[in-house]
Amino acid sequence: MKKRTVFSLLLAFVLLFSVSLPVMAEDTIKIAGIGVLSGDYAEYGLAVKEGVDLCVKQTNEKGGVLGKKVEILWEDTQGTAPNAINAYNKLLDEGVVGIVGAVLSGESKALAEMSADDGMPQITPSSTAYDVTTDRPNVFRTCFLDPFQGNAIAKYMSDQGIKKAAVLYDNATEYSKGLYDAFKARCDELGVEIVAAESAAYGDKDYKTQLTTIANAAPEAVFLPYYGADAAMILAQANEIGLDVKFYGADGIADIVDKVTDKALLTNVVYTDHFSTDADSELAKNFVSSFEAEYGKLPTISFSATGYDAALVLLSAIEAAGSTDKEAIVAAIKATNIDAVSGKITFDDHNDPIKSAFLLTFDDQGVKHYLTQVDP
Amino acid sequence: MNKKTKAILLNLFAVIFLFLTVVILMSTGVLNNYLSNILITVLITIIMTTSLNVTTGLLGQLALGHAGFMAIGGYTSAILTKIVLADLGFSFGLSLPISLIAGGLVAALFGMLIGIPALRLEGDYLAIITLGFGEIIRVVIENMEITGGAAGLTRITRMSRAFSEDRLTSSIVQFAIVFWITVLIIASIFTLGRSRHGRAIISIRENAIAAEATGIPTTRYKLLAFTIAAFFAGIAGGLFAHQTSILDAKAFGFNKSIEYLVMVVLGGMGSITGSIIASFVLVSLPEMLRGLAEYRLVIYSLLLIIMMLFRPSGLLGTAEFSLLTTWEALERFFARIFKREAVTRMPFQPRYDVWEGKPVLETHNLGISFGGLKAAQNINIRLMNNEIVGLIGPNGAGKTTVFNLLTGVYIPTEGDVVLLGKPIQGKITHEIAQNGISRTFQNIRLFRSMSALDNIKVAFHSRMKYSPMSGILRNAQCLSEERGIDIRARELLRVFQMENDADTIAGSLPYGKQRKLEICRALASNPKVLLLDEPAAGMNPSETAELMNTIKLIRDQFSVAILLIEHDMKLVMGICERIYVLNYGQIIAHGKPEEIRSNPEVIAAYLGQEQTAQTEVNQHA
Repeated sequence: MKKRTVFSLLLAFVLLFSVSLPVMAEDTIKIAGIGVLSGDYAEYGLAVKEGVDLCVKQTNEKGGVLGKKVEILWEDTQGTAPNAINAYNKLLDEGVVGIVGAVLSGESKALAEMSADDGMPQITPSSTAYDVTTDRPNVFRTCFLDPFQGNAIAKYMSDQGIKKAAVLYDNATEYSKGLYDAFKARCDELGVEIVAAESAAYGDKDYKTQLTTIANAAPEAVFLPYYGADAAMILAQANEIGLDVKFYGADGIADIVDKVTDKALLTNVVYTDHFSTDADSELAKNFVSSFEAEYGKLPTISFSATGYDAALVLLSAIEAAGSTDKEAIVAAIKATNIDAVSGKITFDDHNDPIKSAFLLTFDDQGVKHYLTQVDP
Repeated sequence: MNKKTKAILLNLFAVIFLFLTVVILMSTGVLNNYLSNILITVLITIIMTTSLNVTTGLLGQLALGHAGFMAIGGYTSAILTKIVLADLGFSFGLSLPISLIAGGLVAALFGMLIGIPALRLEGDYLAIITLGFGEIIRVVIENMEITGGAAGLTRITRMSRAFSEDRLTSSIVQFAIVFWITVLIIASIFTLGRSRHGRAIISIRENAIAAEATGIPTTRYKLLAFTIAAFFAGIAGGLFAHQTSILDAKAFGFNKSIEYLVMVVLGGMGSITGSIIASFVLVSLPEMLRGLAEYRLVIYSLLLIIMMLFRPSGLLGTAEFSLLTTWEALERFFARIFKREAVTRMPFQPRYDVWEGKPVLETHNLGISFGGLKAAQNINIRLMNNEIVGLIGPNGAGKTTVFNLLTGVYIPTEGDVVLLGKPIQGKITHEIAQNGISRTFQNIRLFRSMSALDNIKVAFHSRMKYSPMSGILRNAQCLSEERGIDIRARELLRVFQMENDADTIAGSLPYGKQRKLEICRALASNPKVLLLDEPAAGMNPSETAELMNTIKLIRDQFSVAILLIEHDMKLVMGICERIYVLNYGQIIAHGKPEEIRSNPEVIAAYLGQEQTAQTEVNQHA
């Protein structure tokens, strides 16, 4: 037994000291990429990574930043907060000057706790939880928040000349309620009258009572802040009672296609998303084509685009700051005003992006089509 | 310097050396932020695995919800420091210890609440219940407002920054706090494990039925082990909360519990040092493999599989790595000339009360029915002091049933048992054992992986009084009681010429000695009545002859009444003063050996054929 014990101990120590320290190279600017690259939510992290890597590659092809090549160091968090902290500590010791990440809201919060103490510039491409950036002057994001989409829908309705709108939402969930509140506030500003606001819980099977009330109020459009499965049922039941208007939704109903049996109903649906591969700006077209050239597929997960933008904002800010001083970079990020892949980006007081939302619709085969971009 | 002082000094020296080394490495920057944070994680993991080892290793119950207790402790202490104590104006240095202890206590409370119903179950069932409990905790936390719901609790004061403006100083303070708490907890688990309470817990793992029959209140000790494990897990949770500054209920799910269980299994169930080593390796391994990107999970899993294939009982099995034994091995190696100190032999003095002239044990029309089947009825047995009585009968006659009735394993449906003039109706097995009925089993039930000496000490359990806390602190009461018990246990072994086997693991003793050890253990709880269930089963003729001498010796030295079930007629006829014959659950004959031998009813019962039966019984005699 004793021999084995000694052996086990020896093994443990050898493993500990085999941690290889990376050789420091002074002629590059290092930025960190932190996010969930393996495990349950790896698809989001990997989508972000592809976008970020593409941006870094293109920047280096154009001569890098401050005359130096940019090096991106990735660390996997497996989606957990303790791993995000370990990744941060590790990359900090390796001399990174800014972070793109993290991907999920939980790990982003853990990361923000650390980076805020150091004033380390951090931009998350995908964490939508409101308080990730609250009281964190150094933390930004390039994805919009849920309520933002309510604003965008209201703006789009108003642009379409709609004067009377109705809402069917679930007042017991944060997502739906948040969207509704933002939508209502913006409608009030824009002079769109909300003629009916009915509530029905997620997972209900019968929405006809609420839909009938809504139909009686004769709205020109209905806002449905739900996820795909519920929205699909609502569409079918609205059709049954003869409520034939446009239905608007947010990113939650992006997956509605598979849940609707009569695809023709989808032509009445318009929803907001972070990005569309059909976007018509020059930057977006370039992004889609070079992404396809690089990876042999389309950037269908919109976090590739917001990831690209996060890296773009960070690198542009370093260039604008003229140094790798953290405070200067943070100030430069705050002052961002650039055209990015997912639209024009500036930051508000809460470090959330003020940018365009993409509006999409479907054809009668259920294929997504890009409509327009809206700046609410 | 005696062995114990030496062990304490050696370990203390090693721990202080380790502590100072890390502090120096941290101050010089060799251990950077990244590595020192991993070290904190390792320490917290060590608390989790060593505490889980109390339930899984020492108690031997599979628990799958350990991370749930960590969550309770984590959230309790985080909410305390973040909301309550901060509002009261407490400084962090003051609120941290309060909230850590509170976290531990709340977790312990939940451990007890879940333990009361759950620990009546065993094995798979307990595993499922603890699994369900872990999930319930997670779901409840996700739906509560004060815990931050599904979004998690953020901005908990972080130890690595809170103690000083200077990051390094604060990190070192954090390390010192976590390190010494870990050391304290490990030391507590060690000392508890070696106290009478620890022996009681381990004896349940080894053989729950024997533990109960030896006088261990098994349910209470299961609960104690469960509660202690939960308490330490709660403290680990509190430390974790103040390390990461963010709590997310999802992080404490089933996977986390399994992760800790894997570490315990890898380190060796029941080995505290094994858990420590496994925690260290398994926490640092994924970090070391970071450079290998996506392959690291594959490599990590492969290493787990390989380790399990080559060391299925874990790195250390149930053994402990001990500095003292290593030291002593060196000492022996370098200084073989030194003679070992002679052990002072104290004369054996039986200190047992005498119960002269009156029956020690009496049953009145004792019986039990299982449904319609009367397994035993109208059993009237009377045992006088210092008497050896046989209970014989053909297979299936109900002999072991009678033993089970006497020891409270079965509750009699009729009649009663009177021990030393008092009825023992309604008492459960361990209480009956404490009151004076001891037994051995047909199939030997020793605490196989405990030493012979510890097997005896378990039986002395109810004669010691010190509390679990005394056991952890090893205070004067604990030490003096343990010393006394050690002497008594060795004396008892010497009566059976087994003093040289004291430190041998019970399971590795030869068969005959295992039988003797079981009898020895039964005698340790100071019985008035000793029930021996087929003590000669499986023995060869010379072992049987020795056993006969042993039984007589017990009667002479211990002032105890012996009731013995045996098929070996030579033994029964040779030493029993009276014999009861049982058939179909009833006593069909009673008398002196020679009367029984010629009793036609007995002969008929045994063989159904008068002529052959006569021959058979005579041959045995």
